[in-house]
Amino acid sequence: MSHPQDLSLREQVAAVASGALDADELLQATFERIEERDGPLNSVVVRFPDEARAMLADAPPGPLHGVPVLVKDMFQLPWYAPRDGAPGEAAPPGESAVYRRLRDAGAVIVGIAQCHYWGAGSTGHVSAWGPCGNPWNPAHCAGGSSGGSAAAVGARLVAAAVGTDGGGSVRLPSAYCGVTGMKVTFGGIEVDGYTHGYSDMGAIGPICRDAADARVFGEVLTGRSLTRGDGRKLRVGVVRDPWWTNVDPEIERACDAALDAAGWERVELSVKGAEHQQAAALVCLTIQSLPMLRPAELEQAEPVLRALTKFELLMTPVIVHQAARVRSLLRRELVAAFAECDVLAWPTVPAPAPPIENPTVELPSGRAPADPGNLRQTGLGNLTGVPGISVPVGLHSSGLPMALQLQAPWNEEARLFDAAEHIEDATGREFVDAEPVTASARSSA
Amino acid sequence: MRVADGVYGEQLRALVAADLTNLWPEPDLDPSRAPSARFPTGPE
Repeated sequence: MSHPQDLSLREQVAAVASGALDADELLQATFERIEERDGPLNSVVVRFPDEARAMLADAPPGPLHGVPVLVKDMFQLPWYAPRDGAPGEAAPPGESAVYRRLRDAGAVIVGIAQCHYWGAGSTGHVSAWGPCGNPWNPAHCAGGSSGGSAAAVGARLVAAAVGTDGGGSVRLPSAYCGVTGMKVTFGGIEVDGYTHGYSDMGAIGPICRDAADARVFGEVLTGRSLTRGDGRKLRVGVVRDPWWTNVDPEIERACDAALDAAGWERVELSVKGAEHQQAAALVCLTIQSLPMLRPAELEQAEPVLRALTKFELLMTPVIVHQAARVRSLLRRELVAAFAECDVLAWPTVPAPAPPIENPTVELPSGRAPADPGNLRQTGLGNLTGVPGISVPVGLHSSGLPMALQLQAPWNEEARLFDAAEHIEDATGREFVDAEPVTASARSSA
Repeated sequence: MRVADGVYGEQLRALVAADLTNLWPEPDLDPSRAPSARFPTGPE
């Protein structure tokens, strides 16, 4: 038998339920896999051997009975105070809603996944825990702010991890690490015990290797049935400007090819206000981060993050109102867009994961920091509240993953899973079943 | 600060300068659902 963490989440659930796989052995093998592979990645920053064994001993029958999972460093656990990737505790230990969902489903929380400092970045190279490496090349960023969750799933340390997404923080690292991640509709997963739960931009989401696993995990986290439908006959909306512009040509071609393979009817659309979406998202994220801003941590932050934060603190009240107007406009525009199509599609990230040592990306317009282009691709979902999923659709000539983002109307998560599964089938599952060479090489070395 | 302004300054200044006076923000914005059709979206 292969290593149990090479099994999908669905296979692990079925194997434990049938008795083919002993849950204690699965747990032990998971800690061994983390020990074996995580050194260059730094994705699992805290491990819970004792608490995990206690959870397993008490695990009720449920849809994830006996299956090891990770949670991002943004959730209260009864034995752990989340830190948001910063030096201090952001909240005391406690029972977050995510913890209760996982416990009641019979899952076993084996550790904490790395998080970008304050969750305020899309690269994961800045964190009190240290940078997180990409399973496809540990010298490159895993992404952020849920980089640890995406890297751990990509490296097959666990089959499922919880992330959070205030400006793309589930979808962006999922794209960088070649895994499947969904930001659910705002409020679709209860936020108590989530350190950014006060924000109306942030949502929680599942990160798994493929869409079928993410559907299973998403059902547990949302507490809703996300029944499988038919993703073959959809209308896909394509908004060229701005979301297909200034994108690495290889990524543009891979996303186009995935849509061709899907065979969906394409509808070319425009969205009024899209040119201000990136700035509006930045303003909303900044304003909403103020309640969590701890001056001592600001002074300890990495210099560029500190400068950006101080710069953002100088924003005028006028811009807050302008951002609110853009936000409302975009929400109305999406209602109109979804009257013409079932899903919207564009590249999740404009360029592959940048190096940790220099987190800038090469775009047609020139070399630039990774964050602005990433926020441009994902901020719309946070401003409007709609769900979005990142689906692996190729490997770049650099050896790093490429991904397509799909978005659907409010509360249509099941449609996104259907669409993502269809993309996987249409591309022969080549990219969701691919295992990072670096991860397997480290195991066999 | 100059680095930060170089990254985001242009987009933020464009947002401030945009003429959005005919667009009213939603008074009951709830990102968990589609916008309500009840409220006016701008001056008649």
